[in-house]
Amino acid sequence: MYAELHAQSAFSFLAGASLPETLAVAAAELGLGALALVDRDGVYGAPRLHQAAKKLGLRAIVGADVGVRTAAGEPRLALLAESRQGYQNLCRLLTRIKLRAAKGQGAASAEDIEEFAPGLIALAGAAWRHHPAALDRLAGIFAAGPGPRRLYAELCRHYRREQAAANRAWLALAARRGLPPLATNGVLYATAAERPVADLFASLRHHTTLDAAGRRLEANDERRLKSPREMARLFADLPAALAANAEVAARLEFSLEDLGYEFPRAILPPDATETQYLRHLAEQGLERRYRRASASLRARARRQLDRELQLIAQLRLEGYFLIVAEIVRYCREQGILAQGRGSAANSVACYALGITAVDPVAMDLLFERFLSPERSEWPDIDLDLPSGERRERVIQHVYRKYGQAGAAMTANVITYRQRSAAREVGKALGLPPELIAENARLAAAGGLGEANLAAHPRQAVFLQLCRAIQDLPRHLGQHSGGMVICRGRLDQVVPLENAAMPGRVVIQWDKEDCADLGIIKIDLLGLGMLAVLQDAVAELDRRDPAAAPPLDLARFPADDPQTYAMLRAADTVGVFQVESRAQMATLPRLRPERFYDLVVEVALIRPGPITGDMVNPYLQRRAGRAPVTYPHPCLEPALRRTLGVPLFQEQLLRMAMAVGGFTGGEAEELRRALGSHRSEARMRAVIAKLRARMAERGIAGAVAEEITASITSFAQYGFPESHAASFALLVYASAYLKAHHPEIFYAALLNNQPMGFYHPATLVKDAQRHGVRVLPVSVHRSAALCEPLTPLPRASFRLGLNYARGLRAEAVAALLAARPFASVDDLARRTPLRKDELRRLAAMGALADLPAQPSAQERLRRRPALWQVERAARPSGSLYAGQAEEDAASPLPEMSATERLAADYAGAGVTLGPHPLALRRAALAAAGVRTARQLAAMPDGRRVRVAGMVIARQRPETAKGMVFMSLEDETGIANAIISPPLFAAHRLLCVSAPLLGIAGILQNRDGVVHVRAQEFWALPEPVAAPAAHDFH
Amino acid sequence: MRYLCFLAADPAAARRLGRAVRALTPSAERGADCYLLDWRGLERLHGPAEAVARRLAVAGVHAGGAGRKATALLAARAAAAFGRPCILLLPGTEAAALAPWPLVLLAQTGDAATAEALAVLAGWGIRCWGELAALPAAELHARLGPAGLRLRALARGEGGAEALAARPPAVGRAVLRRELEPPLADGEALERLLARLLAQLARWLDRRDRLTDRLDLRLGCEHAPARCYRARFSPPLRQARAMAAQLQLALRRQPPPAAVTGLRLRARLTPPRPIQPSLFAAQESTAPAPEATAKFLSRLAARLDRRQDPALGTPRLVDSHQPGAFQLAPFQYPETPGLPPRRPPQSAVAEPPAVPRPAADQTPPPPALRAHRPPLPARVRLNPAGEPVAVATGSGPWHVIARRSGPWRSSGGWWAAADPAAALGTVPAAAPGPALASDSAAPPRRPPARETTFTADPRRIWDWEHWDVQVGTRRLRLRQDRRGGGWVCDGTYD
Repeated sequence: MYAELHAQSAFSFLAGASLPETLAVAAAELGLGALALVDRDGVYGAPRLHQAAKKLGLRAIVGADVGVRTAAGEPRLALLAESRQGYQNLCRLLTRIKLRAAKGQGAASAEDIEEFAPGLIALAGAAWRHHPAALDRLAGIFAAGPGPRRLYAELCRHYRREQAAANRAWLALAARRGLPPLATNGVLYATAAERPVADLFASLRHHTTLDAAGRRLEANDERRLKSPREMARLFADLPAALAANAEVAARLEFSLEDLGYEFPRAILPPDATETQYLRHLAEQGLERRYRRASASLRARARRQLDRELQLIAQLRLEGYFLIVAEIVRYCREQGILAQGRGSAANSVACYALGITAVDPVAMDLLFERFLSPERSEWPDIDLDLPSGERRERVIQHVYRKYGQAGAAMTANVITYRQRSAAREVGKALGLPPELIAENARLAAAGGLGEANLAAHPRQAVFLQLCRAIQDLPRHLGQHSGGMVICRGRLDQVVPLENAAMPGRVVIQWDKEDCADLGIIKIDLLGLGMLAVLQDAVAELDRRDPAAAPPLDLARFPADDPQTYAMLRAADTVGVFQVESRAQMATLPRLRPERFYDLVVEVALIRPGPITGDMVNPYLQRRAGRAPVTYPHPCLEPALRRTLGVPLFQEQLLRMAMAVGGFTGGEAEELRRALGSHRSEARMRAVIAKLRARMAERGIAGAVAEEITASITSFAQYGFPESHAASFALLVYASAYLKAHHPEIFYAALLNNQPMGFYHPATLVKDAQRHGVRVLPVSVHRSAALCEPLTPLPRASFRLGLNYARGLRAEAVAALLAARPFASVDDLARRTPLRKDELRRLAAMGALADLPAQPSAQERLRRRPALWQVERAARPSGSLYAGQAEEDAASPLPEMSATERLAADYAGAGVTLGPHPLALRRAALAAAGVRTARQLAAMPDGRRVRVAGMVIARQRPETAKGMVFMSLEDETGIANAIISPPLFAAHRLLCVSAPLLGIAGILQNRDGVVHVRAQEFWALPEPVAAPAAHDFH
Repeated sequence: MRYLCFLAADPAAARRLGRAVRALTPSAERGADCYLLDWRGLERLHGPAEAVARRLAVAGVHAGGAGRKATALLAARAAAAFGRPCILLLPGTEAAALAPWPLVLLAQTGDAATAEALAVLAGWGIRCWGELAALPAAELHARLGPAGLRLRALARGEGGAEALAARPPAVGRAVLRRELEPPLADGEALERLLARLLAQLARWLDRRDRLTDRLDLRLGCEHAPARCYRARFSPPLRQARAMAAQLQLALRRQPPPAAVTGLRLRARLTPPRPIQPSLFAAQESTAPAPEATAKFLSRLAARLDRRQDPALGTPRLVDSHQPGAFQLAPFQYPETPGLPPRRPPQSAVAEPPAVPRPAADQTPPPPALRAHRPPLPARVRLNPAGEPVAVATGSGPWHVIARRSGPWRSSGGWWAAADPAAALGTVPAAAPGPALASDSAAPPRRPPARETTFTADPRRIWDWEHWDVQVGTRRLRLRQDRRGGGWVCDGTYD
């Protein structure tokens, strides 16, 4: 039976028009026995075709289409994997092509083909008739060795005259060389309806419009999947081509089921097995972790560890744990904070090995959420690392340890979204630029539809094409932190290619593909707050070297009252996870007093509990305004810690275990079945099992239904308790730092931007409101980064040269090396600072430590600095070199407060002087406008007016169109709630005004203050304010 | 004051201003948007400068007067910025008068060095001309260089004597208008009037050494819509008789529907080209004289079917898969030997990329096809496999098809359809697809061309299937429109 042996999917970027799944469905419907995905220079879509084909009973063949360098060009050659050896050779060939060329380019040489030919069958198309010498070489390569032939002359017939002529010539040439013909259809799309997408991609690929693309487009829509009957009719005159197709299809036996991937073996001490070594390390760690714990806790921990190690050995996962532990050990040796996140925090083995930082035994976390005998997948351990250079060091360590061919990042398939589709389709259709911009704006706002589009004859086509290319792959990117390692050669399992980032190599599959094929991935994720904590801990160690242990978040004293008081007051700007408006509105109501309250706080303000309507019930019960009830008494142990309201995924497992007698593994399977929606039948089966088990235990009727409904709905939104606990550690650590070492905290925050919820300008003002003295950028005193100063007489830090905008790295280095400076002239002469850099430093006051005159003690103010800088930046030439000239005193007026503010924002992005609202407070007060601080003392329901700099705008998906806005003034932050109709009526003002006034009704309940907006007015802005952080 | 400067706020004001200034003096300096007059000697003719300035500074014109040219220009710009008709600075009072003016006015004096100097001055907090004037010159020069000194001098009313270079357009348009009272109904009289205007135009072109390649004539008609005519000239020319010949032909072909109340003649200007690169160039050239060629082409175009637009031109292949696609490009007079090649005109027709003939394809050239223009309607009978077995062209008899080759399928232009899915055969369309929409929001100037294979437009939707068939001793190319189902005979093979 005919099999399509040359189909390209949308993973031949900007060429194929159909997803592999779409091709599979179409192939099955047409009755094709097999389908070969032969994407350009890669096997990007092979896993997806493999999974789809399995469900359809279709055989998926793996191949790739590569360019071969000849004297006259680079004709394409389709290579199909006949066996595992052939697949491995294909992967290595693709890796070689990709790694030695720039991204998106590369071709194979004849020597490459020869080296990797075993196990491959090649199809040479009609383009090879122009390369007879190279064709002869190919024929020699693929004829070598015993066995059936492995090189065929590929023939496509697309009802084109020129192609028919070319095919005649090609057949004649191939026959002279003894190459048998083989029929394919050179597929670019599943059905003719997708031909427009292929044409669109062709015009984008050639950077032209559809009107101008001409013969770069296909001549007709025949490059679609065709049925065996159609192909038989097409090749009725050449049955040998069809016979060859069937014969080759039968020989292509390789499947991705036979990938041959193995997880690497850990490096072991002599005469030790993985099991022994893991136990040794875990027991060492357990001793260290529980040294100061009570005897009963130690005993429980040991029992738990034994249980876990036994299961790990049973599942043969020792190597995985050892390898992750090795990475964590490397981090520790390098002084890099690392913390496991996610369900790994449920494991005491991970805690003992130092992978996670949460004590799962003390917190009574459920190991089965992480690992159980019933799970058929590898566990998932993600490591949070400080973002930036330190994380990169860890990634490079993994590359070095496992070799360039043994480790790589997972890919991230960048697909077309509404906005990108609108831009590219608009260009291809030749729409006017302003219309493209308008369509893209509508797309970004989710408003791309017939009703909203401006009138244009091509808008209907535009809309259809945008919809057609949604979610089609655009190009391959790199996942932010997923790494794949392999025993032996990773490039025999999946091709590797260079990432855009230097020093990085990626595989051609994303994390879902890896999961589907059983390839282990370790996520090395960058977390800004870990970088902050690392910097902070280093500074604390520097101040008190005797304090130990270094680099351990456990060094922060637990249950610090000052820290919890600050959290209860929602004084949490800059604090990890709890600084958003929603979190700050919950903290005064939840009133955290201990660590577990932070665990709940982290989990509570998530889309899941919000849409599951669990937030208010919990808070009401916590405030004592609602009774704590349980659906059944046996659920009390599982739900007691959250007052009867299920919040965590682990609680779902415990509920199933309590009411249905499920084992931990069965309960985890229940959770996954209910949470994934992949199979209705699977969901019904597990629910039936739950009901049956409850009935066995005497739980039936309405109670059983209530419990089932609760479990079923909760499964959608529950959050891992272990993950929340890991994050709560960071919440507490960052809050403790802010409470006790604010100068260290803010300096580290500012040094690790961008991160968090707020602009650095807001962080600086928050620091000042907490009594921290913030010192300006100074060419004499600033380090490269913001630097906390010894906190006497009060906490203070100085802004670093990293906050002098536009200052080049080499200028910073030269400045640090050459200072001190006797004058502006001296500064200009002895550093490579450019005129614009000098001007900016002068305008922001960074030259204040230079003398106003060479012999004077008076400090150099901003305008005189600008006056001097302008002369210093125009050297008088070599004739006068070395001759110092006394500069005349500055005749310029001093900067006003507004001008200083503008210079600060322009130069550093932050101001240390008065807040913009402070400069107009007198007029605002006269108009009855309150400060943010005053609102807290005003009664609920009062009509108020408030004004400030807009620092955040939010419209969460869970908020049903409500918009939340944060306004900052000199006293703090005021929050406003805007209803959807009001926002729509004042949209432009709300989204664009940097300084805004709002009048409305004050809500002041349970320590949470909001203004329910009714009116707006824009304040005139004399300076360009920092941009707000806008989340939609 | 010695100098007057006038600024026009809009094109209409600029035209009025130009007339007024020319009436005052022929030697006004003209800038991009202003006129500068040296009033020395003119006072006796036209009176005091102040009075003249006030008189002209109405309805979109601003005037400035000062003892120096640059100061006068700045005063005019200030008047425009402040919304005042005129600002006149008496000698000796410039500095005091300029002092409160905002520095931003100086931004219009132009170059990058000035812009940088102004940015530095703004950073220094210098807001007005008085503050700038007060800065010490040597220190200013040390910091801002000559640009700083120049700005300081301007601020003190000591501006330089830069001349305003007149910049007549190298290319552009020339427009002649006439209002006719009473309206002209006599065709011959109209032609005579037109001839006189064209003679005037020719003299104007000759004086400025310009040519025209297109004339647009608009006739306002009494109680009827205006009528427009266009004449193109290749090569461009300026001979009145040649211009008149084409327009007169157009007028006779389509006379105005009513008496003419006014006319506007607009000529598109082109720069001249050398016509004799060598002493022997005239002898070497074998092309007909340009004037004769233009006249011939205009007569030919007048006899063609005006429903075809364009009806006359040079056929150019179009980069498209559509078989036989070509378009008519405007005729270009052949290049004179020895002349440097002219830059190719902007054309909507792209040259198809050269298709290299593969060395391996040793096939004989295909037979020539004698295309039927228009194609012959045909009736075709098909066998169960959908292959043609008999054909009849026009109302002729049926002929059995002895041999056939095909089908050959081509389709495209789907993006011009309102419903692209319908464009490609899934839903048969009742009528030919719409014309190509222009890229701008403005509607296309010409009405959509009807379906025709004279000038097949591959940018419109097509979905064709071709068959080559042998009928007796003849070999025909048949075509079916897969969207509409109809058959035609495209041509006969030699």
